[in-house]
Parts: sequence; C-alpha cells; structure tokens
Amino acid sequence: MSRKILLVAMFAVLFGVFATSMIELETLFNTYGKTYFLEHGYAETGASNLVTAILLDYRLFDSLFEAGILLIAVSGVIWISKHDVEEKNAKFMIDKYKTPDLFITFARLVYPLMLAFGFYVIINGHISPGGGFQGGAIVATAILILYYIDANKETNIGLIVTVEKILYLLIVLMASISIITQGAFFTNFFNPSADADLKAIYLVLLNVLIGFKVALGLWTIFTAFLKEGR
Amino acid sequence: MSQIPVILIFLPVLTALFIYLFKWRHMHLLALLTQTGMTILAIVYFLHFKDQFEATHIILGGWSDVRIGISLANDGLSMAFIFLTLFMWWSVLTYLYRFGKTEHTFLFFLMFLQGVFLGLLQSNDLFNLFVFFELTTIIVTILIAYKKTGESFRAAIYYLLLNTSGVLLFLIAIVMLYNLYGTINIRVLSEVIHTHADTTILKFAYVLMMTGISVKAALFPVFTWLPKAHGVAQSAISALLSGLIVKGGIYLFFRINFLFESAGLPYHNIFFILGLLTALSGIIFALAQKNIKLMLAYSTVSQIGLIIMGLSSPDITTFYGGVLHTFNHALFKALLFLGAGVIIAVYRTKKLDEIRGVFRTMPIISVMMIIGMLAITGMPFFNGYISKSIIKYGFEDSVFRTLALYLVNIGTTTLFIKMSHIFFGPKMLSYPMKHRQQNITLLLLALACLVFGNFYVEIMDAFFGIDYAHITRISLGGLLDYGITVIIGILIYLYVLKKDVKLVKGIREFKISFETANILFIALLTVLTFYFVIL
Amino acid sequence: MVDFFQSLTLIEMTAYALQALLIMIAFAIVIHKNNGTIVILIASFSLVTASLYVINNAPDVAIAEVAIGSAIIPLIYVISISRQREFIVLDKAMDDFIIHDNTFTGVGYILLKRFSDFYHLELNITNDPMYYKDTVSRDQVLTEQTNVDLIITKDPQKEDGYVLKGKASNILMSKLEEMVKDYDNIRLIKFKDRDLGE
Repeated sequence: MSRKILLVAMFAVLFGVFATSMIELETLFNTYGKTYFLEHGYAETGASNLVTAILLDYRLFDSLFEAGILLIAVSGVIWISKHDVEEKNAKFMIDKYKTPDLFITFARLVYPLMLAFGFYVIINGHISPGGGFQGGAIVATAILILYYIDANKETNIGLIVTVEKILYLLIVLMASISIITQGAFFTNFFNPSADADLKAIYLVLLNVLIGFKVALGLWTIFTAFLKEGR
Repeated sequence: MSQIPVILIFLPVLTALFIYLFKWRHMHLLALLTQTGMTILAIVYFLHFKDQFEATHIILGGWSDVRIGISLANDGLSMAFIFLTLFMWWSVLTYLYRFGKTEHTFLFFLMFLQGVFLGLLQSNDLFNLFVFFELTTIIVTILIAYKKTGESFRAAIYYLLLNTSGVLLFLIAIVMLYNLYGTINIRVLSEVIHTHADTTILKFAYVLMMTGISVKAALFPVFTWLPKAHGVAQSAISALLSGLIVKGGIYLFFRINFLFESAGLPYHNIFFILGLLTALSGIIFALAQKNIKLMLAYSTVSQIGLIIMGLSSPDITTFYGGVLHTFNHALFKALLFLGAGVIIAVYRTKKLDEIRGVFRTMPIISVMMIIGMLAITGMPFFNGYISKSIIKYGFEDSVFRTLALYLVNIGTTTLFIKMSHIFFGPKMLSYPMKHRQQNITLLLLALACLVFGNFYVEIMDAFFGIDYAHITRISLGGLLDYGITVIIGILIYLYVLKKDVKLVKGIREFKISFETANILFIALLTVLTFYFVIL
Repeated sequence: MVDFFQSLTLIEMTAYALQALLIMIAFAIVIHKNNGTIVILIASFSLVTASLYVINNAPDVAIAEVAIGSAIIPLIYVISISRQREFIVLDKAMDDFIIHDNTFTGVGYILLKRFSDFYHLELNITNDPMYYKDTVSRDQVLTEQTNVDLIITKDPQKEDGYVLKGKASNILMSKLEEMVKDYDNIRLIKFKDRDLGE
C-alpha cells in the first residue's frame, strides 16, 4: 500500500512539473524551423507534402536508419523464431476454427481495393499525405488478409528477407548518388534549382523502394509469428 | 576527405548486408578486410584534421543553413572513442575467427552495430542521436538473446524494456528543446541554450535526458539490467557490451553536459553522489557472487561509478582522468571477459568454486588474465593506476571523496583476490583444443594495457591537449598504496568472504523484481526533478 | 466556466471529448484482466489517437497509426495469445495411460482433459518418437528448449506408476500438482530453472 502512495506522489510531482513546462512553452515557442520549411520547402525539394520533404530530403540520413531499424527487427524476429528441434505438433494442431464463408468473400472483395489504396499512398507520397512508410504498412495489411482466407498458405521467408535486404541496399545507394551530382551525401540527386517535376522523380522512386521494403518487412514479421510451431 | 565520417558509418553496414546476402564460408575475412580499411581511413582522417577539428563539421545534404538538416562533427573526444571502437571490434572479430566457418547472422548484427555505434559517436544532431541510441538498444537486445535459451530471453527482454523507457524520455526532451529553440543541431544549441536558462522547461528537459542516459550508462539505481545481460550473453558479446556499448552511455553523458554547459546547471555534486552509490553497490554485489561472469559484470558497474565520479568534477584534469579511465576500463574489462570466455569454454562451468588450476593448464592465458587483474586493481606500471591516480589527485582536498575512492579500490582488489583462486591447483587432464587467435587477441589487449600505462602523456596530449606529465609512472608512494590495498584485501577475503556468512548469501540472493526496477526508475526521475527544477 | 465551454468551436469540443475518451480507455486497459478484451481496447486506443492526430493537422502520422496500431499490432497480439493457450504434452509412456487412436481415451487423457478444460487451455498430445532422441537426462532439456509443457513417462520406482515432468516456472504445473494429489500412482516432478543467477 505504501508503494502505491509513493508512486502516486511521484507521479503527481512529475505531472506538476510537466504541466508547468507546457504552460511556459506557450510563450516561449520558437518558430524558426517551422517558418524555414514553410518558405523554402517546396522550392528546394519539389514536394508539396512538407513531411515527405523533410523525411526524404532534409533528414534523409535519419530515414535510412529508421528503415534500418525495421531491417534489424525483421532479421532478429526471423532468427529467434528459427527452431533447431523440429516442431512436430503441427499434425495435431486441429484448426477447429474455419473462417466463415462470408468473411472470405468480403476479404476477396476488400483485398484488391486495399492493395490499390496502398500503392496510391506510396506513389503519391510527395503530393498528398502518405509516403513510403505509411503506404508500406497499408500494403502489408492488405497482404495479411490473404492469410485469413487460406490459413495454410506457403511462404518462402528466405526469399522475402533476401529481397528486403537488396531493397535496403538500393535505398542506400540511391541516397548516395547525390555525392556524384551534388558533392554532398544524402539529398536529391537533382539540383535544388531544377524543375519540380524532375525532383519528383527522385521522391517517387525513393518512396516506392521504401514502401516495398516496409511491406516486405512487416509481412515477414507476421509470417514468422504465424508459422512458429508449424 | 571530409566525407570520411559517412564512409566510416556506412562501410560496416554495407559489409553486414553483404555478409548476410552471400553465404560464403570465408565471409569472416571480408569483415576483417573492412575493419582494416576503416582503420586506415580513420588514421588518415585523424592526421589530417588533428589541429582543426572545427572543419570536420559537415552538413549532410549540403544545405546552406546549419540549423536545418543533419550534420556530423568530430573532435578529440569522438576521435579517441572512434579508435577505441575500431580496436574493440578488431579484438572481437579476431577472437571469433574460425577458419572456414562463418556465422552469417551473428556477423551481420555485429557489423551493423559497429556502423551504428560510429554514427552515435559522430552525430551532431539530437534526433539523429536518438535514432542511433534506439538502434543500438535493439541490436544489443538481439545479440543478448542470440543463444535462445530461457535466461537469455529473460535478460534480453528486461534490457529492452528498461532501455526503451529511458530512450522515450530522451525523445520527449528532444521535442521540448526543438520547440524552445527551433533547431536540434548540437553545436548551434550549445551556443543559444543560455537564452532560456532559468525556465522550468529547460531544466525538466535536462532531467529527462539525464534519466534516459543513466539507464543506458547503468547508474544507480537503474543498473539492474547490466548483470543480467552481461552474465548470460556470449563472452565475446559481454566483452563488447561491458567494454564499449555501456561507454556509449558515458559518451552521451558528457556530450549532453557540454550541451547544457552555458545554462549553468549544478550537476557536479549530485552526479558524484550517484557515481559513488553506483560504485559501492556494484562492488558489494560483486563480492557476494559465485559466478565469474556475474562478478565481472558487477565490477563493470562499480568501475562506471568511478568513471562518473571523475567525469562529474568541475576540474578539467579530473574530468579527463575519467575519460582516460573509460578507455582503460574498456581494455582491461574486455581482456578479462574474453579470457573468462576461454576458461569457461575449457572448464564448462561458470562457478568460481569449480574452476581450479588454470595456471598449469593454460599458462599464456593465465598470464594475460593476471595482467588484466593487475591493471584493474591499479598496480603501478599498468593503465588502471594512471587513471585512478588522476582522479585521486582531483579529490585531494576533500577527505570524504578520497576515502570513498579508497573504499572502492579496496573492494575491487578484494574481488580480484577472490577471483585469482582459479589459478591455483592441479592441471586439468584433458581439455578441448584452444584456438590460437584467441591468444593473439588477449595478447593485443594486454599490450594495450601496458602501452596506456606508460605512454599516457603522449596519448592524452595528442588527442586532448592535456598535460599529464605531473603524474609519475611508478613512484614509491604509489607502490606502497597498492601494497596496502592488497594486504587489506587479503585480510577481508580471509575473514569475511571465505566463510560465506549469511550476509553474503543474502546479498547474493537479493533479487529486484521488474516492478521494483520500474519504481526505482520513476524514483530516479523524481529525485532529479526535485533537485534541478524545484530546488 | 460556462463561458469557457461556450467559446469552444465544434472541432475543439471533439478534441477534448476524444482526449477524455482516451483516458477512459487507458483506465479500462489497466483494469481488465481478460487478454482478448485488452487487445480490442488497444486497437480502439490506437484509433482514437489517430483521430486526434487528424484533428491536430497531422494526416501522415494518422495513416501510419491506423495501419500499424489498429491492424497489424492487434493481429500479432491475437496470434501470440492464442499460442499461449496451447498446452503441449509429450507422451513417452506408450501404454494405455493415454491411447492414441482417432480419438484419445485412457485414464491419463481424462485427467489432462479435465485440467485443460478447467483452465481454458487447448490440449495437444503427441507421442511422436522423433521428438526425443535418448532418455531421461534429455527431459529437462526438452522442456527448456522446445515448447513442450509436460512429459509423461513410466515411473521406474513404482510398478504401474507414471511420472509427469515439467518446468517449475510454469504456473500450470503447480495447479496440476493439486489435481494429481488424488491419484496415488501418479507423481509430479518440477524442473527448477538452471538459472545462472548463482
């Protein structure tokens, strides 16, 4: 009981300090970053969506390592779910639960729509909200629906993981091309003063690569969870 | 030439990808080749920029405004840490080399970790630092859980949960700083931070960052993840973790203190006390253990306490004494862990009581281990003595601090006297074949200990421009000090520890549940908030 | 106070209402004990958070939050929770304690079925000889390395007796011990974790 009182007291202190800080922040707010991006964002990067501009141009270095986090997480999950002793209880795992037909029909209807929406979000990342990461998550969710329809779907995890790593390699290479054209790493390989449509090529390409990579990664994690023990 | 930092970060990452994609048996050689390339690049870079570290500041993406965009920067401290990282990875890669066999997944994670860690050292942007911080946490979790036994998973998940909470606090602090100053470039921030120096929000941001870093650097009271993780991981990984990754937390500690320097926060006393508590609790727990790896892990905790005691001092010489001890500790702790790894592989047990006769069975490795033990206990002529003396000089005027230092030293000596009992005894009759490359690694590390113990004046001058000529290499006073410490240690061991009294057993079995660890975490945050914000 | 409420626009009122809902859902997550309920609450928490993101003019974050927090995360949780409910038994006794036919029968089977029904577990019995290579000393390793929960062998000390072995850290073992007390030809052995905490 005394523990709980202590905890409540500690949280009260922390919350008080936090609230005071937030109230102070209202007057001390510094808008340098915001105004810079609003003024120069579109002109320098060619993306109307400033979030994509920041992710893929101003702070591309961070995004590379964010994609790297996903890569590591996927490899880690694959490694941990690999078992040396063969799991033999697959035969006895009676799938007493058969997916209802209504659900299968709807899943068949929804799957192409979700896939198309995912591709739309990926490709239009630089104009409308979205981008590689978000679109990749949506495409992964679409692929997961297939598992509802057919629980015994066979997947070649090794191939997917290899393709994912090759995609990561391509992303890093594409981000590094700018050292040749511009003299600096990790930015658009077109000049900032070039036409907005040309710069958009780079953005779309990068978004597509990242989107595929994220989709494959999330698909692999899900498959590893599902297939463990089968 | 100026883009070398980026190459240093990405070369290991790309190597890691190649190792994973092409499953060739001799891929380990590629890793060693990459390591060589990186060392050459680092040396060239250092020699070129030795006197003009300001020019190493590069903005990735070539943007003209330094407040937008990510930048990398180096200075004497980060270059020294880069060389330490490269050396550590050389040791681990050589130790793990087996001709004709390569564990691809393991090397993948190991090399990726190197790239990420080098990024952590060179980054000049707070959010970038956060990304690298989180990435090291994730990779280290996977490496701890690599053996896939029950206790590995437990230790890994414990580590992951505690460290991720710390990292989240770091993120909240970054958000606050960005809203206050409009930029998260560390160099720019350190110049403007004094403009809002007296506000609650700045102090709270500092407290949040410091709590996050305390978890990573294993300070009291949130160090409980360290013995669990280092005790169950493979020896090579334990060596790397104790030697380097936990020093990443220390690196962030003084980087963030530099960042907030002009705000004038009074952090010296409270971090000295935290360091002292860490050192004492580490050594008390270490003395009660019966498992070699746990003894070494708790000893790491106590040495980190010592480092923080050095780093929290306002005097610049003592500060660099703490930095020197960081490097020294990396060297001799890696030596001890790797040596312990060989011993455990040969004797197939981790319990201290069951290992005897190491000196007759493996003479070379015993000599290396003895060098490591002498170094960590602070014998003159080895590197531990130098850094401990520097810190001791810094505390000359305060009796309390000198006494505390002596206490920790006596504790460490007792611990290693206890551990040195593995050397006595008869020779083991049959044992598996040892690998020559492990001997080479241990030899290299032992040599490094000797070098640092003798050429420290040149080294410290080259990197940091600090003059240490007033610390003598061997002096009668130093030898006498050491002799007294050893004698007191032997006495304590014979009369207290050998009997395994109830107190010792109680300390050994003292378990802190996960719930308590979380409560301690929140308590640390509250105490620091109280001290900095309210007082 | 009333002026405060009257000066809010519709959007601001919705934002405040959603935030209050968020706090209530958070409380509900902490209070409930049933794992299935908690998963659904987590998914709804994610959905409400996504709406708040949209109201605060961050549609990118909202798309990511919906896709991951409402779709993928609950899916992974549901799979993990349903795997937890399996209770895997390895039968090395190979006699009529448990008879493996098209349906299971036998004294042992009835006991195990009663146990797993009581605790809402899914019973899964196998006697595949590929599962183990040699004898007794490997039992502890089997329980540690694979996900077998219980091993049934013949009791070497008693005629016609059986030994049930499992990990001591498994809470179900202590509950099984209670049930087995009534049967005098069945013994229970719990393997203590060979923890390196020593």
